[in-house]
Amino acid sequence: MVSSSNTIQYLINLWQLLEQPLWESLYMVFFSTLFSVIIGLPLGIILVITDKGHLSENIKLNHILGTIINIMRSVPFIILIIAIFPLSRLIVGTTIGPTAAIVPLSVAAAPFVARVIESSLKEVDWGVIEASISVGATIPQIIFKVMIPESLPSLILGITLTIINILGYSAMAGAIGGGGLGDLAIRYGYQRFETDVLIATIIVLIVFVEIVQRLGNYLAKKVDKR
Amino acid sequence: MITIKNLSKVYSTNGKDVVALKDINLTINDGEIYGIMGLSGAGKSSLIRCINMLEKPTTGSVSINGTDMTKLSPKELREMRKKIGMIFQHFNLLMNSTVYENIAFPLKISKAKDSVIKKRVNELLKVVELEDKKYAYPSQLSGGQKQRVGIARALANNPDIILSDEATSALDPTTTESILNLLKNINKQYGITIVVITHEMSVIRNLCDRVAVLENGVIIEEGNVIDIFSNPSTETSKRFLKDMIAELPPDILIDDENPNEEILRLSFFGSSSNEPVISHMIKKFDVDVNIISGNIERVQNSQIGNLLIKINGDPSSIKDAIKFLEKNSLRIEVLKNGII
Repeated sequence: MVSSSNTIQYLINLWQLLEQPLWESLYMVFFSTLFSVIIGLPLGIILVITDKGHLSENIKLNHILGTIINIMRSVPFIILIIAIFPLSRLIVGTTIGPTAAIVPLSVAAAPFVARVIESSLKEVDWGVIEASISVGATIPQIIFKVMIPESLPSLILGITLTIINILGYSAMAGAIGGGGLGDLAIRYGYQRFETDVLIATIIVLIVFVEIVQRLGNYLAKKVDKR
Repeated sequence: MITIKNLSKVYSTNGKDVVALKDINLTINDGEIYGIMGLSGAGKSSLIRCINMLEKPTTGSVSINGTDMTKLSPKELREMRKKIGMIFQHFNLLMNSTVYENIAFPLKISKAKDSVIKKRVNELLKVVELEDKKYAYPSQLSGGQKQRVGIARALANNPDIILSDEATSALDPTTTESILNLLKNINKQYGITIVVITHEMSVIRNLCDRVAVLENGVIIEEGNVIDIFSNPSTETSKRFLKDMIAELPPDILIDDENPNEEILRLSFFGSSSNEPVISHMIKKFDVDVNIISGNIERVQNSQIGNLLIKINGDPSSIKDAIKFLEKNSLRIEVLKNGII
């Protein structure tokens, strides 16, 4: 039987092993989400307003953009990371480490975010948009004062989905030198057969996903006055 | 003044052209309440949307106080729209904004100062009697309250015109009445021209000064509400009036060949409703009268009565009796076999 002081020592060791990768993962997820939303939000908006009968109908642009997004989403992430190495090197100067992983993560998640935002914005009742046009609102005013606030609950849930997705992707990025919890799980849990580290990693990931999803649900509910 | 000239609207879907409006000509005067009535699919919604260019007319023009709306730049059009409020059947409020924010919305769009917005919104809340709902969200309001918010929003920029797109169609009769009264007061108090489209007879009857009847994209009848109510000339208007006009019960058929019997529909309005015309007729001519049905409706500030009667007598007496009725300013229709 293991004495309690040994148990504590064991947990401390495990935590020391997990701490650094956890921060790396959080760092990757945070910035990848930020950048993918910065890229994806305008794309999502363009997809909606250029659609047939919408604020700024442009079927051609809509089709081209839609096709590009579909192609991007079809490329397996592991391939995308490698394909994008030159871009990562150009932006961060290296292809190794969490910072370098942010580049492919953002690029991979941006088209996903665009679709998520597109579907949220499409939920906005056309009548409300028509009412805004009738009071003389400009297209940017309609986007930022009507469409986004009206679809905020759905947008929050969409971004929650994105965060959790990026967390999953970041584990894959870890496999080719991105660091983070995924990397830890592969090196210790898979390659060294240290099952306890693997399980500890998974527990941390479960807790992370749980917190993000609950927070997302809470915020979405809080801003939803419908 | 709103002048619509030779306006047509054609929708092309999948290469097929659907004509929604055909050669519409209308003049709506300042300060009047103008009704556009029609069954669903008649083109009412397209027509009212052509006034503020939510839909662009295919041909023709819409002028508001001399400005041709079809020739404005996007920027000029936005400025014009600020002077044309619009209310909707489904209210179209911002669901994630409070009543206050909804009413403030047009003012914010116009970049008004916060102090100006605050003052104006509080004024409008008083006009629509929603001061206690200032911080409520639309989902916490009843249909009538939501429409009041819609009306306050439409009034925010001090418009010259309000367009009402089936504003009471989603409301119950009592609420409809209160909304109509509110619109009437706004029209009286601020002199705002109101254009109303509706499929509801009661809206036209209680609210409008003039009315146009739209069918299959064409105006088939136009005029003062009283005239159309007392004497509809087209099938559509008659169908609209069906609920108010005394209809001949289907089981009372009359023998077309029998010259001693005639069924008449009498419409009387204004002063003639106060005279005992029928009683005079019976005394004067050798005829018997059997009253089948009758009713009186209020239209605006006048009364319109409808009476279905059966006259028995010899043909010449009946003829004289009808002449007498006509002389006494009653509108008369002779019904055959129960068909008007």
